[in-house]
Amino acid sequence: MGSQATRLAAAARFPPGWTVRAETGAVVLALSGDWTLHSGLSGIPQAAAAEIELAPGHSLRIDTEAVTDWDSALPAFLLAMAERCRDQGWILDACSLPLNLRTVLKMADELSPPASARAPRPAPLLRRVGEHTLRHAGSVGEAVSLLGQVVLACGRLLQGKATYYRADAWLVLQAAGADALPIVGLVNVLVGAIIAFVGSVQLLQFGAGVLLADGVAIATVREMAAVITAVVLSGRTGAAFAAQLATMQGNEEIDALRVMGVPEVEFLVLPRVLALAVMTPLLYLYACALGIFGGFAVATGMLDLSLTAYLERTVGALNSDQFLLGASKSFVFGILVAMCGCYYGLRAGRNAAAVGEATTAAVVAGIVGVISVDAVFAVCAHALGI
Amino acid sequence: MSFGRRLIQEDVSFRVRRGEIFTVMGGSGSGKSTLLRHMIGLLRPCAGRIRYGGVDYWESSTEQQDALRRRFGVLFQGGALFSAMTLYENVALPLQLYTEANPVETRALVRFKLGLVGLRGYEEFYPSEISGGMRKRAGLARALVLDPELLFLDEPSAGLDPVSSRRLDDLILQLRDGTGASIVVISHELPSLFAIGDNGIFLDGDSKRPIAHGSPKYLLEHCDHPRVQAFLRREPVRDAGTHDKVVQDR
Repeated sequence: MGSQATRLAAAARFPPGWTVRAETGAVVLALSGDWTLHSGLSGIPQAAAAEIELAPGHSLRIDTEAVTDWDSALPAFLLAMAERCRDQGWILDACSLPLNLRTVLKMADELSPPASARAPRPAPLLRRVGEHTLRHAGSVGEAVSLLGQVVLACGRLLQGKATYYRADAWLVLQAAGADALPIVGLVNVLVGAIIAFVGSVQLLQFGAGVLLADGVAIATVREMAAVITAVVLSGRTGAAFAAQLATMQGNEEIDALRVMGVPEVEFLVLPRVLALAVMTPLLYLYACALGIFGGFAVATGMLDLSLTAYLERTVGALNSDQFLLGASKSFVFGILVAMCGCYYGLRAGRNAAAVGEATTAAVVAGIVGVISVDAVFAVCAHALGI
Repeated sequence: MSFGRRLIQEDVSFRVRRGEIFTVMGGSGSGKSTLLRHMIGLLRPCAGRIRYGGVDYWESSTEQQDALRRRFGVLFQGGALFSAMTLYENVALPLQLYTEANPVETRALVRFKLGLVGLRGYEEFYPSEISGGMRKRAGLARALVLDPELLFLDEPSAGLDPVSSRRLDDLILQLRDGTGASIVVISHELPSLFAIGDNGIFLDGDSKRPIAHGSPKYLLEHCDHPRVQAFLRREPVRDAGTHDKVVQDR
């Protein structure tokens, strides 16, 4: 474009300008001054363009002799003029332009492919709703088929025929179980303490403070320990599964596995689902203990309950059915969370953004799924009289 | 320069003149991209100075650094387009941030720059909807939009088909001729290096220092370092050790 050295000077030396001159069968647009991004050009090109009136078939000559300095702003304007000339059926006479300007202009104008490829326009609302519904219906089918594949893979594992990578499976087991202990512990202690705190305020109004231990124990063992643990695992382990598998998908690792003849469900999904299926009930038991401990800490602080009295009431309130209910819930939650993580990880797209989308979808689906399944369990437990 | 505590390159010293196409050559892992990150102000070198027209970048104030960086255009390896924006919005962003161009002029400029890289008509596409080579060219259009004095191109022709790669070389040469900008190209694409390089530096990963200075063509004819020759001629390294081994294998 023109001389670069002068271009970064703060003020333009020559203000940009233009004149239109009519000749026989042609119009001459003479430009002058600095045509640069920083020379206060704003609005001038449009004003110049608006001035040009030509009959079709006539030619427009652009004269840049008086232009003192220019950068991309000038060819950009000329390109727009060239397009307008084409639209209106005018002839653009570019012969008088300096060579380098002509070259740049030609590059920009000629080498572009025809603008046939257009970005897809947003579809009408009804169509989008329909497509959305179909997609969701389809994804239910996919999820069910993944579950089926996992069950089949389980069968192959029992026959000793499943292909998996032992070191990887151990790592998953550790990440899903032992590594989750601190966060699961902390959250459950706090939840137990909150139940005890809220409960004690209500119970003390009736002078029924001794019942606090029963309340905390039942709430923790039947509901909170299982649900809270599953929610934490969904955010922690389920999200990690989705992110790992989505990254592998983007990296073509899953394609590589398929090409090697390794079914990805056996190699990747099965260890993860089994790890959470085993670890969630264990974490649930740990969560029960810590939840009750949290309740106990608050109860002894606020009420004058002794350790023995609290323990006695806790043991009296609980029975093995409640533990069984909680543990079986945890088992289902673990499978659900792992399936959500693996499902969204496997169907992730192949770009970088897909990892984030898969993770978000897995966590949302995991948590909503856990709460919904818990509601089903509550109804069943009521019907069974547990 | 180093990566963490691992030394990558030392004694790197070169000068890029106005209007020159300077190539940074070297095998994978030799530190080409790290050198680029030092030059474009993303990573502070652990020793030494980087000067732009006499101004030491890393000793400057933040405002000075910003002003210097505004004169750079950088094409990253993958294009580095903002995924939430269309190509038009990507290319228009620097104009909206740093110039007073009104919407009509912005539109004209963006169409011109996209035209230069052969992407006119793709304004409304999102980066995820176009191919890798097109993303790269769109990244170049964004790097060019403010008419930078200094253009950094990281592996511009990697992943492009030969025709697009050739076209990109022509474009780089024409940009240099048209604007007088200096262009620093990081590359290991031989045809493109020979086609455009006026001067250059060869970084060697084994000795961790530059082993040759000069344009790729000059180095091909006059540099007798075995690793430089191996790189520029696409041949196995012929230094004493490997040669013996080849003989033994036979």
